[in-house]
Amino acid sequence: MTPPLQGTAPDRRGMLAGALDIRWQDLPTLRRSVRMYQRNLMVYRHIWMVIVSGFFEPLFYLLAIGIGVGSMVPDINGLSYTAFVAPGLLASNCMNGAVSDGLFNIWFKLHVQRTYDGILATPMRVADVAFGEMLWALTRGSLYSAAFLVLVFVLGELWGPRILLSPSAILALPASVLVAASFSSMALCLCSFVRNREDFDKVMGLVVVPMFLFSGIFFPVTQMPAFFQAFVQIVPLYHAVALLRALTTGIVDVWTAWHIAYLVVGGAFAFLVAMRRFERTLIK
Amino acid sequence: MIRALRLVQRNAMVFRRIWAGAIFVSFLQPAFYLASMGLGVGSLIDRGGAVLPGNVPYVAFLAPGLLAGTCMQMASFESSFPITGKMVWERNYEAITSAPMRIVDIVVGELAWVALRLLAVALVFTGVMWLFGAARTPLVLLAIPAAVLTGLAFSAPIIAYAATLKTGANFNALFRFVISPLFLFSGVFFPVSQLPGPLQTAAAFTPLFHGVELTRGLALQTLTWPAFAVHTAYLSGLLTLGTAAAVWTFTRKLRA
Repeated sequence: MTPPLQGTAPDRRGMLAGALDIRWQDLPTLRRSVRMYQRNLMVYRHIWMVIVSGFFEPLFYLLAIGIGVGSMVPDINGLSYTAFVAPGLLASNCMNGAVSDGLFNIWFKLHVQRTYDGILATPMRVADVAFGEMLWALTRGSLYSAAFLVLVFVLGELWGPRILLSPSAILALPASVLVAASFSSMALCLCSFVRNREDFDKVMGLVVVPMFLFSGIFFPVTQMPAFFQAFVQIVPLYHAVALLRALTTGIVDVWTAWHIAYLVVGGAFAFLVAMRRFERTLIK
Repeated sequence: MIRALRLVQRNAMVFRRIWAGAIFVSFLQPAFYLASMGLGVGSLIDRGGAVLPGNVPYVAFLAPGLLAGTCMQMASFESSFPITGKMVWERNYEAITSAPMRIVDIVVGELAWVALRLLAVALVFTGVMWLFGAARTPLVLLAIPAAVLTGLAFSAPIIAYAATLKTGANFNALFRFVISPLFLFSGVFFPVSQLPGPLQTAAAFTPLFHGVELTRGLALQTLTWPAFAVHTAYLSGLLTLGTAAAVWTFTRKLRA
């Protein structure tokens, strides 16, 4: 009896068991993942406007909320409101990028354009595709984050109030790449659960928008009732905001390590679950 | 008029499949925003002692502005992809014109449909405002027609534009560079008097500024008659011009 071809037997185990059983040969290879990356690069060469326009979203929010609303808000624990909001907007920008790429674009490529069906007819495997898409999302995310950090630095130095308060702000760039990676994985994972277009409304209305509004971007979570403060500890965006704010303000403590650990472990787990689920969807 | 209602009826039949989710979102979205920005950020602002028009707490300032802004966003969205879809991708309008429907019936019908959706959203929103203590007198109901008019002032020109497109790609630019900045800088979240001088002047020319001022002025009863006349005239003018433009672009597309 011949053993089944690799990757052809659908995995019918539970989500948890499936995700945690990592076999070496299932992991993506860089050589193949880069091909996916290359494909996206070619596609976006024609619609570069989409990428450029992404730079403006956090800038608009920074000017409107950070400075416009901020001019009416007194300092929070000695921190100007602009300096308080800016790292939060950096985190939310990483999330938005992950959602638009990892959730919407991938879902459409998966179910509407059926891009991956063609790709999987080549020696590419699901893990390579997923990893390649991740690398692409990370490149975009890093570009946006770097641009935003330079911008708030210049804005703070030229017009004040200062926004990057500590040299540790330089670490906000690698940290935002971690945030982007973690959120991309989570978005991929969420994407694998979306069945139809109406589900997007539920994901946006019940997950993305509430996270954006209540994760401590616009006001300290300590203002919320105790129950919500406990709940927010399991919310990914809360950890992203807290991590980036710790770095831009220089108030780094033991909690910072917990935020990093959450994002690393949560992101890795979400990626593994997403991979298993996509294998089931794509390989029948 | 009867013929325009046929189009409303058609849209309502399509909408029947997804109405539950839409109502759900239209209730939760304002509730989330009012809780976060109105109460969360609002408590910081009120503690700082900022003086807002009408001397109201921030949540009462924000709520009517957010109502107008939400109506703008919803009206713009409903007038973008769905219209291009019916014009180009699904060719519904082509089929509709073979019935005894004139172009103007289609345009008016689409606007009436958007108005109906806006009315529902504004009603729900006002209910949420009341829950948050941001609506203190029944006069706040006057804000509803103002918000609907604001939405329609955006809807008509966008319908006209949507009819000229072949793909939806341009809408992303419209939302990123027009709708989203308007939402942020037209006085929804902070009085435009906080903006630098030239930007204040620029803001006074944008439609959402007039929509926000009108809606907020009626909700807080701070509106003067001349201001009421200016805002209403601006928004109605935009609605009329937009409707005329839409009839023109629809005619060019469907009678070519």
